[in-house]
Amino acid sequence: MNRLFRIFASARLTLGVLGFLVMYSGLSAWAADTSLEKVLGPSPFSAPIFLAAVFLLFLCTLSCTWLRTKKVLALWRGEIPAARLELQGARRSTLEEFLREHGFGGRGETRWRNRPALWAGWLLHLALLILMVGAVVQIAFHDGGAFEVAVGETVMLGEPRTVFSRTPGLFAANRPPNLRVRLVAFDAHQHQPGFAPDRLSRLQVETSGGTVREMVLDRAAGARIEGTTLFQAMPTGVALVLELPGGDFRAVHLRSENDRLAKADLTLPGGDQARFVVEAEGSIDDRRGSGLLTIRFERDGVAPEVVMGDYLEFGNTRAQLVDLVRWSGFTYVRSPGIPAVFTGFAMVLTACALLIFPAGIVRFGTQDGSAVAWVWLNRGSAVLTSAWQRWNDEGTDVEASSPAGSTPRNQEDRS
Amino acid sequence: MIAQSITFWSAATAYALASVLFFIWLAFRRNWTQSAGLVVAALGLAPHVVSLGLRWAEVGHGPFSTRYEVLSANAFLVVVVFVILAVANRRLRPMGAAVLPTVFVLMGWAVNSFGLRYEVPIIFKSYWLWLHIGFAKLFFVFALLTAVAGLAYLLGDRFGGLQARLPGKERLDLYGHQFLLVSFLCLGLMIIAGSLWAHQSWGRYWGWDPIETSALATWLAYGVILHFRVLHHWSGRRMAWLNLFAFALAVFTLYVVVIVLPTIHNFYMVGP
Repeated sequence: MNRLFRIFASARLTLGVLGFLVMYSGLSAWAADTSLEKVLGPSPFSAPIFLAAVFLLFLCTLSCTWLRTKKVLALWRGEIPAARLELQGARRSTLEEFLREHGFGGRGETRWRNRPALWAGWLLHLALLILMVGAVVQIAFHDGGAFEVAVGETVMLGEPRTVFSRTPGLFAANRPPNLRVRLVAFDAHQHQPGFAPDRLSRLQVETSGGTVREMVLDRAAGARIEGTTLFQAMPTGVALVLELPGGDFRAVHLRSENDRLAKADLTLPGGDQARFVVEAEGSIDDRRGSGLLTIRFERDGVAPEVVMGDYLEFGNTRAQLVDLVRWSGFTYVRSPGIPAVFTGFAMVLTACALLIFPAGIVRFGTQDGSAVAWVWLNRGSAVLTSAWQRWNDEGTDVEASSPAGSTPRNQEDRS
Repeated sequence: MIAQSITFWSAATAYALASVLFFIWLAFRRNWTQSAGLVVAALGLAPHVVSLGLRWAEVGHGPFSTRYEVLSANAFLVVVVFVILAVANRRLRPMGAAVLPTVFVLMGWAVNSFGLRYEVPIIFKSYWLWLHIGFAKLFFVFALLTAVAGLAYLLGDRFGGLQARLPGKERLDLYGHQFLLVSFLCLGLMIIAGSLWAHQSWGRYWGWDPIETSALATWLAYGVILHFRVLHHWSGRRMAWLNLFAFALAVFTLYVVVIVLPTIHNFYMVGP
């Protein structure tokens, strides 16, 4: 098993995989709409080669973390590795003073500098493993989709054809969440102080358990209800509201053909095809107003103009045109992998912050009658060595020197 | 508008003067000019902060929209961090000879979009914005300092006479590594805060947007560079070159991709 870990923890393999991922990701960022796209494919980040490289990186990181654990534990316990510095001095107090100025505080034969930072690299690797596992869980269980509601309309997300562009993970629930959503109010150009005009909606959401919640949504943040988060989306347009016999209402959502024209093709009860066309004097989306609107109902090759209150032959029934409102797009998301991703993020941060602190360990002893300090540092060995040489040669320590120059040391101390 | 312009140009002039003073120190070894350069750079911060504050008050948001606001704030942060580090550690002062001219260039690039003003989109109504953009700025600052440490190492190595005016080679190597680690942290924080922000606004933490992808590739590349040092014990000239390469990647991610490619991040350099 350990042999397998050593193979995957090989520096060449790890750097090779990392290098490949850097090149691949870098090129993919530029691939869209270029000839590179033909080579990398339309979805380079779900391509088998990319996923294989990420999996290989996971194995490398896992192996490295496993093999590193023993080494860090040994350092934590005070065992000095073979690759260490040896500082010799006539007196131990001299060595202690020098090393204290370089961050090795405390007492005893073994001392540490920034002891928790010994775990920085190990923790970073563990965090990356958790992050990768979190990303896999997220991809597997994630569910999301889009839906549209007109002002005053109520939709059931669980019903067929309500949600579109759904992107469920392999192990996501079969159906969208069972939420009943009503758009109470919508402003496509709400001007919140300090920000450019944007969408703002007031929704009433009812869960299958009967919990009803009103939420105000803008594109800055979503709102969560029973494990599902709803988000305001950009798409919007006009909708015609029809009253059907029996007091039922139907909202017909129109798509903009250009800034002045919107259309909706629909199948009438009974199977006939028809089309609503709304034409505006100005821009339909102009926040100052669209000007005069003309509504036409096209059926059987004729397109008479209709106005509010008109009754229409609506397939095998009649419908009254009662209102023109706006519809708005929304998305819903269920993200069960997010806690693991966030845990990974938090650990990456902790580890990166610890990495900044230089860690080290020193053990004092004697050799041939003189005091010796065996030092291991995770970085800065060359600086410590040259500082120790200067300390011995000149009686000064550059690290501790004053701005105006070097500080003479006690000659007796160095003798 | 006029007050903004006056304060901006006062700051730019101070940074230009500081650059000249650092060059005089480098060329003629007049030690007082090094200290004077630092003082002038620090003095330049006063009109600079006023100019940033006036713009903030005028447009109603922080310096994270339009090239002028972004680059001017980045330049400000570079000088703030440099002055703090140079006061705390005298050995870092020679870096001013490369840092201040870079700041001056940034100010020059910033001023060509001085007249642009936009209202920020509603998704900027988030606390994650401050962390994401704040760490993006700090990432640039420390990536620049990493490159300057690398450049100082290479120049000191090439021109023996210069070496005496710079910190020791081992120390420059260590500074480069330390700055690279801080850049790595800042870039990681920038990516993570951006992910959390995207999740808050759109319900997805990653979308393979060109800037996201480029930032991730840069973070991985920084990881590779750090591995070269830790696993293969690379140091000296090779690491100095890699430090310069790391800065090139940072500039590419922060300023080139966003200008050349269509991305959700176009706002901060190109406009809506």
